[in-house]
Amino acid sequence: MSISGAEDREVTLLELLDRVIDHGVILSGDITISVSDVDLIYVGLRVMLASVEKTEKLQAALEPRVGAS
Amino acid sequence: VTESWYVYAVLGRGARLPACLTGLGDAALSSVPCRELAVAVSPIEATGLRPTAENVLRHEAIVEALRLSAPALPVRFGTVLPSLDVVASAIDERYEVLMADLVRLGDTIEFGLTVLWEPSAFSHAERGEGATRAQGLGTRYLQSRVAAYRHEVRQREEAEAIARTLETTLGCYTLEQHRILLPTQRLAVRAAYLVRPSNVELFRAAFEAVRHRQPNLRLLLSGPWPPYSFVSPVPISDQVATANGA
Repeated sequence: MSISGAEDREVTLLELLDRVIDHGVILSGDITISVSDVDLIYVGLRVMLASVEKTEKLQAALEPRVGAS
Repeated sequence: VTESWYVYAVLGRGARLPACLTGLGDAALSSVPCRELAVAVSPIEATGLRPTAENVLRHEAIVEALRLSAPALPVRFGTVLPSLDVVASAIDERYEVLMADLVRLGDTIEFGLTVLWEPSAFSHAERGEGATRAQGLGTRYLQSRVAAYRHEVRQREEAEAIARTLETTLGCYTLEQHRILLPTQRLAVRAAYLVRPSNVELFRAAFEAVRHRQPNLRLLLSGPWPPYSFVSPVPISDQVATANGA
């Protein structure tokens, strides 16, 4: 697999985002996020997730230009 | 300014926090006990958390540091609770599940595997060309849908075959695994593997072997990560209540 350092980091960041945002222990107390004025955090996360999906799509479109294994 | 508590990880009650480790915004870390469990938290302004890449990376670095010093379950990014009492009661509410997860996962690690491929073109058989040329517009449309369906079925079978190969090769070095077939056209398989630290080198060697046997695929391995993907999920009904602020 010949991925450049930058591409490797990009994949790693996407994998990280997928894990820390979409997985991990969920505490029912999370409700605090949506009942206090921290609502923005939730909105922000959704925006970031959308960005990640978009990045993945862009990455997929660019794949033929990326060094393959 | 209202102060809340940011939660990083679930630990055993006796776990010591690394001395020099600080939380988001360099706030001091502390441990909140609940029966035989504890959680690592740090104070944060109620509106002070932003979902930036920097904060996500910092969250992960803190969880990693905690996990290196004691068995730990990673908590999802962005978990902020209004008081230490609420932190303790949130743990208490899911105590049995969290305790079982800590025993099962506390000292394990996770690898992520992404398999990229070049999606195959429609085959002659899938198109059914001989039968379509003389048909009307509606028939051609329906036959194109049939062709797309056949193509999708074939792709899924091919992705399934790749997943089975991975499972056979890597399975003996893993405790658990999750996989998704064809999340996008370019991704044949995405998988997560739960691995004992003592099996990491064997797992990596097995991965290298399978990668060399599949020159037409791009296999990307990431990790080791804390076992984010293997903690027990919260029932959907609870998540809906959470999202509604119930």
